[in-house]
Amino acid sequence: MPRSHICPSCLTELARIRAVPDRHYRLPIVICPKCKLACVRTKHPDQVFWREIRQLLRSVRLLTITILITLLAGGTLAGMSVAMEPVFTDNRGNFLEPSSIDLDDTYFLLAAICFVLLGSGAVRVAYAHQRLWTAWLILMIPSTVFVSFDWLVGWGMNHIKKMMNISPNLEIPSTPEMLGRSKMFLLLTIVASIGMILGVFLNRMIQTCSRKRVSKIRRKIKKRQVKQY
Amino acid sequence: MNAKNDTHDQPPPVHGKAAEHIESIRADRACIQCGFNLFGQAVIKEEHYQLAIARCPECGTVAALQSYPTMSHWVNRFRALIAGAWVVVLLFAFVIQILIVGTFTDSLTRTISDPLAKEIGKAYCTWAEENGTTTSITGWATTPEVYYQWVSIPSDWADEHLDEIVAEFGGLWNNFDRSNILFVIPAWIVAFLTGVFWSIVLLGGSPKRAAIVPIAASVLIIVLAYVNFSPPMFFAHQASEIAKDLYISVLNPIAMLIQLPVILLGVFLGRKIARFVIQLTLPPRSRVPFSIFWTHDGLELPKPKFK
Repeated sequence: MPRSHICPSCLTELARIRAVPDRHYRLPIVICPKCKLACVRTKHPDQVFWREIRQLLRSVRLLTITILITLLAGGTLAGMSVAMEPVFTDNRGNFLEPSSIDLDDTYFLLAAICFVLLGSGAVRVAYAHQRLWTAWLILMIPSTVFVSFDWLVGWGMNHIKKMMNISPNLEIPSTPEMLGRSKMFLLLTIVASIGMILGVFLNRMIQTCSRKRVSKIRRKIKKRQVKQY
Repeated sequence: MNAKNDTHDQPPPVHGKAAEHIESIRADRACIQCGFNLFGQAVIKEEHYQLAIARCPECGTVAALQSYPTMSHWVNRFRALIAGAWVVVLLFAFVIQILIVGTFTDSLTRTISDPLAKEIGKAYCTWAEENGTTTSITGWATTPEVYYQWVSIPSDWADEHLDEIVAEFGGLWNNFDRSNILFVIPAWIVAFLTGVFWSIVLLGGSPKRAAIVPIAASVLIIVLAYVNFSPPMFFAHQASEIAKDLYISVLNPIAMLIQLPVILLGVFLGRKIARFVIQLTLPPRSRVPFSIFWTHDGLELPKPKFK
């Protein structure tokens, strides 16, 4: 049930009448149906408090989602370079000849490209307020950190293996393998850049839809104002 | 208008012409005195100032209808509840910090003391073999050297032979594995993140004040380690525990002193990092609820850049 709002002139209950922003000052005005007095609907400070809390939660949610998207896209880029390394590079870390790649692996390549395109496109949409170059850099930072982390973990595992004498069969990636991963990472970076450019178009599409929705809402409000006055 | 005074000192007359009005409250409005919902109560104009009023049927308090409709008492209760929950969360975070940083320090001490622990365990196993006593690891299928630190050692044996073993080992500081110092790197990362966390959640105070909490946690970790490092040895202890107790009194404060500057760095850079992340991640409109990160430090909220 709405909160009570009494007309100060004729004491009529105005709570059920919708407050429409007036055309001059944008104040939420209610016209009393009995005495035609214009009353401003003010909000209780407690209501403002809860509204602020809701806004804060919305921003926190947006922040979390944006960071998650960045980490996921960065992780996909780094993870795909790790996954594709044994398929497309040899033991020395060099790229294989196209003829020597198994045909079944091309599907894997296509899937990897799709994932990277999707991830980088999502990053561009999430960072729509940033320049293209900045968004690209934002994607590159976590993925580079992940690739470096791969090295660090390898080194750490090696150290722990030596020190604690545990898991003697644990496979630690060799230097040529790491080199192969880095090469695949560079290759996928180009794919990510294409994904970023595709993200720009996706962004424009979203903005156009959003504008249409906003203009629809504006038309609705104008209609109400015309009815009220 | 003091509604309470009106109720008890000079109740406004609600009879005569004013009582003829038939308007009533058709929405929610809680009584400012008892919180009773005034829905359905008659609205009248009092005769002194012609103000719109309604009376609470429960306590008789006058509600001035031109003021904000008071929400129920639960709003204030919720506020107190949220504040209380926030304090509990902060206390919980304080305990978690002590556990995380304390565990890092403890594991560092343990790994550094491992060679001495193995030496103590080996010495006891040799002694036990010579004297025909069973040890906790004689039952195991294999007894490789790496497990010597887990052997249980009777306290009277430890009291008798410990100094001798340490002297044979070459003292506490001559033979410890220096490569274990690299464990400080993950400890630094955790310490920095801890500092950033306190800098952000303790926005009410300056970074200097916010630094008091992690410093207090560090002092508490040192104190707890001192309290814990020498429990009375009534029956038996593992060799690793005995070796750790010899090192911890020196290593724990050193480890904390190494971590403390990084925690403080995190505290002083935390808000700057938060501002940078917010500015980078959120569009200008969504940054407004986080404006406290700027306004509290006397800065202006960054203006949007037009592309």
